[in-house]
Amino acid sequence: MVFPFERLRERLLTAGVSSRHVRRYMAELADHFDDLEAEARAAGHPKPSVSALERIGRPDDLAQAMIDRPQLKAWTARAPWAVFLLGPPLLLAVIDLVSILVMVLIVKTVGPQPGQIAPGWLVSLAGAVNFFHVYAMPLLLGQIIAIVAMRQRMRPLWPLIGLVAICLITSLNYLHVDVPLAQGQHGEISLGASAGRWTVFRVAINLALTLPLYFAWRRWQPVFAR
Amino acid sequence: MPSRETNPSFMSGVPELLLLRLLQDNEMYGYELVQAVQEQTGSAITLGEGVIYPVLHALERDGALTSRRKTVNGRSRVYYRLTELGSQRFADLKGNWSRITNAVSSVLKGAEHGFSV
Repeated sequence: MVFPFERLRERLLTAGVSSRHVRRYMAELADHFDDLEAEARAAGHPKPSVSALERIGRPDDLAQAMIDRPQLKAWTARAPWAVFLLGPPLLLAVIDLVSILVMVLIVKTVGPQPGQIAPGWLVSLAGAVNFFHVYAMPLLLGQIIAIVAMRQRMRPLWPLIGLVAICLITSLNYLHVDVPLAQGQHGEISLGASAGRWTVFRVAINLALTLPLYFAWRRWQPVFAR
Repeated sequence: MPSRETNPSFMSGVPELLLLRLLQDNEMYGYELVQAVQEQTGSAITLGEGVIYPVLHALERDGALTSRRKTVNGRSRVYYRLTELGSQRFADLKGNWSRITNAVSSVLKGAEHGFSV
């Protein structure tokens, strides 16, 4: 018999139990169910799977036992404001910092040599960092928000607040890298926040890119999860 | 679906005590633990078998247990083991349990022999 507690998984995730604990609980229950079935079969029980179901417990009890334990709740349930409002900007700050450190390290180690100009790939790399920061960052952070929300079967309120916030922040925030083209020249890395007439347009573009992906994720999840 | 009768709510905390005790000797997995509880209590204590796992997860989350996946006879299972913190927690729970059972016993003995004020 197929392990019959698929709906339990959805119920636990919707109730805010951490997906890590839910995954392991399901695996352990499935193993336990197999053991009980084997035991009933060996004892000559006419319906081993019925006996196993009876012994493993009612789905309501199995769900409640997990939901009642606050230690097993996901951060998305304990503090959604932290996950969706503080988490993405913090991640953005870390990515900015790492990008700057990596670029400085690369320029210092393999930058322009005496009498030579900067290699073409270095200029391209700086361009890629700039492009990534402007166009790909909102998508990346938006996808992370969407995946975290879907994994935990969250209602759309907090994920949408997070998505709007991150679209706004990534539209205001900028990181621009100019590598030195020859030895002795200065490169420049600028990081900051600014608003201009293009900001509203950028916010709109970012929202247009991230929101449909989030709603597509929601649509693709199993029907009973919604 | 019919369900086996398990022990009532005053048993809350007992599964934790029993699991910590059983895991003092060996690392064990869920089904093994349920079997051991039934065997060692002469089936006087019957746990809803599936609900043992939330107790184990919570104990692990509190640092009283650690777990690892181990494959035995071709089957992968999650084995639990007691930590230092778990031993301490067991000692505390055991002490509390002894105090309560002694107190209840003395009340019951008093009731048998008649209370005096």
